[in-house]
Amino acid sequence: MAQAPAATYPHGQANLPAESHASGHAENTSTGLGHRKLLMWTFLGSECMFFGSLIATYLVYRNQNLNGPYPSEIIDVPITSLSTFVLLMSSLAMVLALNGIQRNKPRLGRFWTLMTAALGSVFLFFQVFEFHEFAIHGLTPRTNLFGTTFFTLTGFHGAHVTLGVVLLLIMAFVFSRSGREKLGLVLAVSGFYAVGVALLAHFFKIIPPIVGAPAFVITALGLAAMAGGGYLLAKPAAVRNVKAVSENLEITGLYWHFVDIVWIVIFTVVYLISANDGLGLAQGLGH
Amino acid sequence: MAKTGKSQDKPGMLGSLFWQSSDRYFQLPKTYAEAESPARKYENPFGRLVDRMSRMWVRLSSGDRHPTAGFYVIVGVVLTVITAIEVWAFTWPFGKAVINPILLALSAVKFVMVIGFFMHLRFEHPLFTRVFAAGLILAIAISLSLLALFFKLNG
Amino acid sequence: MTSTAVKFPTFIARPRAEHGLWSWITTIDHKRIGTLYGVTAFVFFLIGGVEALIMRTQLMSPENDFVSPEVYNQLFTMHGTTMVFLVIMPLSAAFFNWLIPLQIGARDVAFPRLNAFSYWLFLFGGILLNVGWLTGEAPNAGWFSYANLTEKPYSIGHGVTYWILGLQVLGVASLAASFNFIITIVNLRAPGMSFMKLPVFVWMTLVVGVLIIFAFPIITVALIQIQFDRLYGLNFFRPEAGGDPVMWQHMFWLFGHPEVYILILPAMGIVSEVLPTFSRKPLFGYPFVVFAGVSIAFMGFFVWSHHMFTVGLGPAATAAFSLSTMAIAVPTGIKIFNWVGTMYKGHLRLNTAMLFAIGFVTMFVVGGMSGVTHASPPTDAQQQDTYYIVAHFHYVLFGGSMLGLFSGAYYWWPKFTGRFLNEKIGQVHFWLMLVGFNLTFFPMHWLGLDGMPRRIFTYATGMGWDSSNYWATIGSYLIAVAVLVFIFNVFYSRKRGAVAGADPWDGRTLEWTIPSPPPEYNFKVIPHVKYRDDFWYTKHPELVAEMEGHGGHGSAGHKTISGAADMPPGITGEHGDTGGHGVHMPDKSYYPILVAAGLTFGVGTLLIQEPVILRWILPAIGFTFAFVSGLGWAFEPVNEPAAANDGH
Ligand SMILES: [Cu+2]
Repeated sequence: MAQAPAATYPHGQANLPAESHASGHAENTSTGLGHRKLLMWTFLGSECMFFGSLIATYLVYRNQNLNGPYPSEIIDVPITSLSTFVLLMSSLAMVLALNGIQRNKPRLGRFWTLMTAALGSVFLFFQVFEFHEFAIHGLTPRTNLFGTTFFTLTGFHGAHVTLGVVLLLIMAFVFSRSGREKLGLVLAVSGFYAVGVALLAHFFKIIPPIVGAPAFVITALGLAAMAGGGYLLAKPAAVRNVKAVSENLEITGLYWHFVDIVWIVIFTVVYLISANDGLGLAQGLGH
Repeated sequence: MAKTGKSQDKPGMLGSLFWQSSDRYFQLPKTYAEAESPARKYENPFGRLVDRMSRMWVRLSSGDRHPTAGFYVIVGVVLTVITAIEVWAFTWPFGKAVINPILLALSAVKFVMVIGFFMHLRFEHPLFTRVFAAGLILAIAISLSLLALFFKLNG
Repeated sequence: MTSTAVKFPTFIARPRAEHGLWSWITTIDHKRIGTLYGVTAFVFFLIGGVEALIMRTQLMSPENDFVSPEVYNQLFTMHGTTMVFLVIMPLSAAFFNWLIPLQIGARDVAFPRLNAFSYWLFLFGGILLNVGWLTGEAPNAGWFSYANLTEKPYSIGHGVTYWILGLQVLGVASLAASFNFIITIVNLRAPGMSFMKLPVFVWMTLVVGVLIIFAFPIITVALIQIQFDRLYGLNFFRPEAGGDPVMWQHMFWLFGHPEVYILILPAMGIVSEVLPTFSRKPLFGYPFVVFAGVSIAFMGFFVWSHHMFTVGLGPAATAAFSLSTMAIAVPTGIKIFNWVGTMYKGHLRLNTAMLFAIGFVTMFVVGGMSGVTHASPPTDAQQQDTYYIVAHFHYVLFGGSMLGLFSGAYYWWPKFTGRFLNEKIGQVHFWLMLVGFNLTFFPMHWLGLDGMPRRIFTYATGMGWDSSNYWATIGSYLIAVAVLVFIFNVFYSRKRGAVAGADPWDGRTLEWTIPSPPPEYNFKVIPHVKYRDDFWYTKHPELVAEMEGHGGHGSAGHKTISGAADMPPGITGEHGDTGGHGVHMPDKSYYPILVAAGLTFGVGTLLIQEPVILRWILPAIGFTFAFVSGLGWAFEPVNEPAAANDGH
């Protein structure tokens, strides 16, 4: 093990010392692999156990509800298929972002980084909508075992997505050097979230004060901010040398894809396979 | 790690069906470095068609030192199609015993495609695969043991 | 190179203190962090020991009323939790920190600031766990806090919540440290040091790291679940809502069994270094010791239900776990034979370190034997929840882990401080501890088989348990005296201990090639390694031919790597990178302690439920503080560019 020439693996990121883009030292690691990338992969191996435990708990408690609402009454496969598709596309955007950076097209990389964050946020909007719908139909984490295990599992997944979005936005910010670009970034991102929140609030009545006219005003302002931000970002400018941050983006990307594959499992196990789960224990199938 | 493509092992009787002294049948090149060698031919029992497909694969998956954007888009499209099939399979009028394994298999394919191509495991140092697979396999094994303990395997 | 570096904003000026309190708070030197771990864990050892002494005093005579039942519950809960999470694990971490870079020929760990972060999180988590003593409601549901005793209606007050949140913080600390050591061992080995040339202590550290990163996520999830049940009224372990308390037991022991190997493997690694040195022989069957350790790690995940035989899992499951438990005794037994084989026909030097190592082997055999007896479900049914179990795990964790750690302390003290611990006082320490330990815990075998249950605060007269309990208490006082002798030895030897050179024991591993105590950068020149026990063969070149002549099964491990073959044996040559450069160590940093403080504050304040607004605001403040400090950390270069430049 460990004697493979680093050159065989173009993604291997050999010769990068830990935590240091600034020190300028090129230390060879014993394996030729970067410390931080190896750390991320080891961390993801550990995360498998984390989500594995949550999913195992969900499965053990499947069909053990003493009262409703049961999954068959509440799970909406078409809507979730849509949000699954959105998250899948965010993974594609992520890999295109890295591809742009590695081909030394930083502006393309930044665009796709922002797209990844946007698609991830749309997924989170879907999740907020779903949790809200479930609550309206009487399912909270306290209602029954399905509520307890479902909200814990998908909630922790959502928390991972949220962290990923934050990391991606920081990445996009780091790519941008000039004040004009940073302003553009802030405008575009805040406009996007304003539109998202306003639409969510208006159509699904999640936040009562912003229904109707206020929602439309916020949407209009948000769209304007996005357009302005996009304009500021689109104008060519000297871009930061992204070599130093491409490893960061690659590692963030690994995390992002992992969150996506966890959702691949959750979508199959919690939605498709469990969608028809009915009375279960309450029906007298029992222990 | 053994360097791929330079294996000097003498293949056995069974092995010679799949191996050749210069190259391996059905073994796709992994990296740009492998693809770069101009003399490389993907010898195989099916002649030029597979050779040409292999070259196309190399161009798609490792052109210009990194997989091309086009390759990633193709993977994304395939993932979408599989997801669509999953949702469609969900409506098939068969019992859970038939559909659930299909659904699990399809999601496993998606899982492997994402870690293999989007996360580059296919093109990377095997150590990454090992540390991740260790956690993944352990998690699956423990989950299955737990389900067996709770008599849930056929639920 | 530096010209391409990106200039990032920094929030706080870089700390510069070289001496005094601030230099310790901001340190990221693995040796200083190791010292911090050691001292902190030893303080917790004294706290946990006092808890044990109070319990033993209470049990000295029947129907005693030295402490109340409520306090007794808190004592045994905190004694167990403290000794496992705040003593043995961090004491092992102290040795990891000090020795891993030294033994693999590295200047520091892979992530120095993450290393400091792990320590501070451990300290704060330990404090959070013990806060209950100040408020009068320490955790009181046992070290495994079985559900549904831990649910709100059955454990009112904050006690169990302190336990949950404290362990959550400690878990993150252990995970961070383990990632760090795994990457360090995989990526920072000296040139030529292949995996089969690693010292066994390094191997065991790697195995422990792997166990932690795979076992701790399980307890993290279990703690989240019980925390959600307690604080937010969810249903994970509430039977009245369909939840299953047995699920907690599964989750806990899925973590808990790997945890016992996390506790014992570091001591096994230490003993595997001490025994060869003082037997003047290479470790007998090195590959077997290594693979036994690796197979223990793997099998350790599939034996957990032996803690739950009396729950009633059904005959198939019980039989399967009984068999796997008996099977896992095999690799452990292999190691015992290897240690005995190492000593066989060796020129033994019976100094304190060696005595503790031999004490480890013998006491661990006793504990291992009693452990195998409860692999058999019918026997286990009689032993469950009795003092027999208490005897068993104290033989493994005290007679095993603690004696092993003391052995390591005496062995490496000269390397850590530059002075020996006094040998005569050390021998007194050893014999007092060995006698006291056996006097305390051996009678507990009889007590347990005679039916005395664990976790009872007193017992009736006339049960026939009086004299055993009396002598056990006397034994525990002897242990206390032995610990005092050790503390005296530490202070006595600070000034009056004999000065040790670089290599006082005629050692085998790389840490003995550098001065005692080591300079901040450890190795002036990164060594090239050709053999296992490379330093030994450098000093004794006449043994090289003998070792290489062995051939057979040994040769696999002794293969030299290509490229190093033409070099003379031992520490030669120079790591290419260091030639001509000065040695730069990473700069100190404030951020690790700030992030750790923010996280602990965020997690700790989750227990404040009363004014609903505080329920969210206080944790939010903590996590935001941690996040902002984390940003500072991320954008702070390891070396200040100016500092990095002046060496070029
Ligand atoms: Cu066990």
